[in-house]
Amino acid sequence: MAAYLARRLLLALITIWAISVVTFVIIQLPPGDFVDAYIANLSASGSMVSAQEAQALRQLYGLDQPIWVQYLKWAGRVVQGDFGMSMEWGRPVTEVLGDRLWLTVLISLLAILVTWGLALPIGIYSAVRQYSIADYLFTLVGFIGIAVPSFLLALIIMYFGFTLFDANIGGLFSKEFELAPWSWAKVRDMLGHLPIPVLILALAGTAQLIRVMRANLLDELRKPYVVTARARGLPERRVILKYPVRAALNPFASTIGYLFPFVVSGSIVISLVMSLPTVGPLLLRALVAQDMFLAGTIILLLGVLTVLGTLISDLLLMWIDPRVRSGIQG
Amino acid sequence: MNAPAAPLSEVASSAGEERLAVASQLQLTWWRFRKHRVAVVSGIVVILFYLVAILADFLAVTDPHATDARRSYIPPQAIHWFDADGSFRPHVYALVGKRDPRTFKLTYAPDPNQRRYLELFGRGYAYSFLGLFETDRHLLGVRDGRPEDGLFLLGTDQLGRDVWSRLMWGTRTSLFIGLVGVGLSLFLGVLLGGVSGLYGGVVDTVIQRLIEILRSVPTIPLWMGLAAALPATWSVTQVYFAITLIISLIGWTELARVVRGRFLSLREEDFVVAAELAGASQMRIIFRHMVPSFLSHIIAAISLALPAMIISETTLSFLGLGLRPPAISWGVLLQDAQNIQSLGIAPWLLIPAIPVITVILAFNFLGDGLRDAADPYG
Amino acid sequence: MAEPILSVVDLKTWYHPDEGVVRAVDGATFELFEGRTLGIVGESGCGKSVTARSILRIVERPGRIEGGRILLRRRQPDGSERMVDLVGLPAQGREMRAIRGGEIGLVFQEPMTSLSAYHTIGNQMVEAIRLHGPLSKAEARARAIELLGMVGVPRPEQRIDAYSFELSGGLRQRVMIALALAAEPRILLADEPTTALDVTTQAQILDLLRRLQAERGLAVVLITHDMGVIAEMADEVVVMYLGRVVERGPVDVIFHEPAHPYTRALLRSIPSVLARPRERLATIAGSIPHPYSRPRGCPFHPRCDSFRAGRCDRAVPAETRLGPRHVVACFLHGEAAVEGTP
Repeated sequence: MAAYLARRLLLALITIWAISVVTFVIIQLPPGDFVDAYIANLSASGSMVSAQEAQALRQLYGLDQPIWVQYLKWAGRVVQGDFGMSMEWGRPVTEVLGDRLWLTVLISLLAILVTWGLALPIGIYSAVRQYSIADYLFTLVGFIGIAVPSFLLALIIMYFGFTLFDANIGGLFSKEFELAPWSWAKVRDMLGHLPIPVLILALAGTAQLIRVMRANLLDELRKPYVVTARARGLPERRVILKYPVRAALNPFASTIGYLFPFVVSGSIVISLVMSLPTVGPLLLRALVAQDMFLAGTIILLLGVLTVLGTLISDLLLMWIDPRVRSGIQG
Repeated sequence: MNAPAAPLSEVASSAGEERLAVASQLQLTWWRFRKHRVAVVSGIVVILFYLVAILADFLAVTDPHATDARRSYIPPQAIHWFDADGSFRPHVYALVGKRDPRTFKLTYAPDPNQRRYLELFGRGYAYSFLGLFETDRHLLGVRDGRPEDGLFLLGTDQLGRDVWSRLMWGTRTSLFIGLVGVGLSLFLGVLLGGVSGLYGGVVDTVIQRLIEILRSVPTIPLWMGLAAALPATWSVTQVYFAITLIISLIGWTELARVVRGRFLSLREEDFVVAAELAGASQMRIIFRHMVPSFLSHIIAAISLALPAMIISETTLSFLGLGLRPPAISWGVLLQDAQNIQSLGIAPWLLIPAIPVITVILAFNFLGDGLRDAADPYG
Repeated sequence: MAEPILSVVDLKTWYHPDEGVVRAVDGATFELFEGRTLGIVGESGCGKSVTARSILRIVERPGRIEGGRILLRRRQPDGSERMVDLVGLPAQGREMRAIRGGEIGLVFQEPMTSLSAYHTIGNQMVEAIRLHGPLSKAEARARAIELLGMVGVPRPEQRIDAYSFELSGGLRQRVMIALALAAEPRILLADEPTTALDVTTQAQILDLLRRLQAERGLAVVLITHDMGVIAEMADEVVVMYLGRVVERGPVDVIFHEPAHPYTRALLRSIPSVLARPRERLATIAGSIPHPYSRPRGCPFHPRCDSFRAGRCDRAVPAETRLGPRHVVACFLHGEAAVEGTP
């Protein structure tokens, strides 16, 4: 068990390191270095930067040194929580991010909870009542959930909200709360706006998990322990819920590792279509404006959060699976 | 004593057994596949889509790049099949533009008195047919006139470009980017998955960890970052291949997983062991014995990877980070529909969503059918 | 002899998949007595396991009991006894559930997968004990430990908290037997209980079954394909082929005066210590037909060495009584055919 834990932790660390390298590469990719862009940006707004100042800036960021030194310097600052300046906003990246990161996490977590809450009972129902009308119906809905890209779904729902109800269902806050500081009224307002984006975000994952749960449970239902449980005189409902569902839950739970990155990805796109105040629109804008520290930070933080989420779900999985717990597997 | 169905199935099974004895893995898969009605229909849909992609120029009516401010936001036209005298003469009504006296917005209304008759193989803009010869014939044309003046089956966009013709071109781009992307993914997947499954040990561990890492990273922000870094000066073709490369760099993991799994299980199979004992070379074992036995799995995995590729391209282009105009793809087309205000004015801009959803559904059904056929017990 | 505790009369359990009909059990008749062991023997696919599932009424779709009776002599709360036809009871009803586990226990052939890997042994045993009796959790646990000790699980007070995958195959099968006996049923259905075990463990499990039978007067239905196990354990034998009982009788009669060609063939295929070196073991010609393409007439006729053309391939032989408890269905011993066949 300790070995399993150690392996998971190590892999998470390696993944975070890999993400940081990719992030650094992305930051470096646009032509010219950061200082060039910074100067260009400043001169566009009318202020001039002298050659000495530029040189000082280059030294500060180590731009005159080899690339790996630059990486180490950057990584060192990131570990201390210094993500650099956003050129476009002229403020530290952390300030620009503000609540947006947490709103992204909130929406993603809610979507995952909804995904589970829907996929689990529907998957069980579809497997136990295989080939029933409801099973076919859920299968069809599932296929649509897989086939309609989330941005299209958001777009279509926005369109119908616009034409049928003349309502703009985008955004997370009503106008009067958009810039207001946090208060109970604002939270309540947000809760009213959350369901539609969360449902849209959850649909694709739900569709996949229903299929996973259904297939797993169908496999488990054929196993001898179900027959022996029935033969002991347990009521059918208890047989199903206690034994095969419990067993099918494991592969189901292990999909959360893939669900996390999937949902975070989806939240970016949906936020753009529905103009939600998450990091999504900020990332797109930063990328278009080549505000690379901001864009890089967002990519890095999303990656790290996803890895942490996956790690937590792995540990959860270990905790619920007696076989992993006692070290039989992995 | 016999069940009514028994004599029939007896005949069928004995005839079947003889054929099974000589059937290859691929043939077996094909026979099983034919039984999945939905999957077969989906396969036909997919083939039709690729036909559209190949014949995009021929199916287009007007030059999809040609803009004309005077034709902005024309709504889709209805085709009237019968003439006033009841004869079969498909036609559309000519459009008469009127400027709203208050808003000054130009609106178009069909004029039932002016009819434009459709004809097959009419003349339009000149193009090269499959790169073979130059022609200006298209599937549909307008008799005694230019299609640019009045044939907009699915309406026009803000710049007055014909949505139908653009859709044909977008289909070509999006479907082929999927193919090229899957080709690249397949290469990476088979190479790395094969090496991983065949050699095992440290190589396997490293590749497996790499796959785990790639799968635990949210792809969209990563793609966005990479795609945004493409120089703005690059040509349409360069961007096209760069985007394909970016998508497939992350998309190969699933194919690699399938290939590795197959290699691992086949390595222990009797026929492989037998071939090894018989002294067959490594290459011969792989290509003569192992690959044919999991070819159908690969085909199934491809047909499930293709829609993922198409969604990726469409999403990226939709966000403005994938293909950029003047390239035309489904994502580029849908980008025009991104703005809810313009959708309110011209809801037909959302029409490209229909082929996107249709083809992804078809690919999924097809892939599921193929997977079931390739591995009935898996 | 006393009244049977369980009698199965002309049981028919058919499966209805999309492709047609599979007559998994097609007219099985036999009786089971208290304190005695009935062996059901036959090749795989002959309907042995489906018979066991039919008795417990846990046949899964697309299978269905099409006809026949399963009569169980049931204890009543006042101590009297009453015959119940299990075929007439609703499969999910309260009475049938009380009979499952309470009157009839089942031990299954796969000790690996017959126990849940996600629940401790104690969890599964306490559940079964409390389902059929008014015991508290603590009492049920004490009872479970006692049962585990009785079936020969060493250190039962520790093993009760183990998971099935932490036990050896033999121990698992012992746990399965303890679990089947948790609610003190009077009948034990043992479906290939030793097939997946090595020879030594096999012998131990068979010893255990014999001891339990002697101690508690259990009626045991032992389902197996192994004539050796039958010879060792059974008092009565039922030989099944393709869903039909081809011969049944006391174990000595079956082994010494087998009447059906299939029984004889089965007996010839047992390895013998008396065999000469390098003597080939007899095999039964041909293979079991595909369930969809069941032969016309006597199901065994394509493989039978006493096959009579025009008779065996036209009609299904009816049961002929050869001795007080010895019955065979073969045209060698009587010309009667089952009704409705040409």
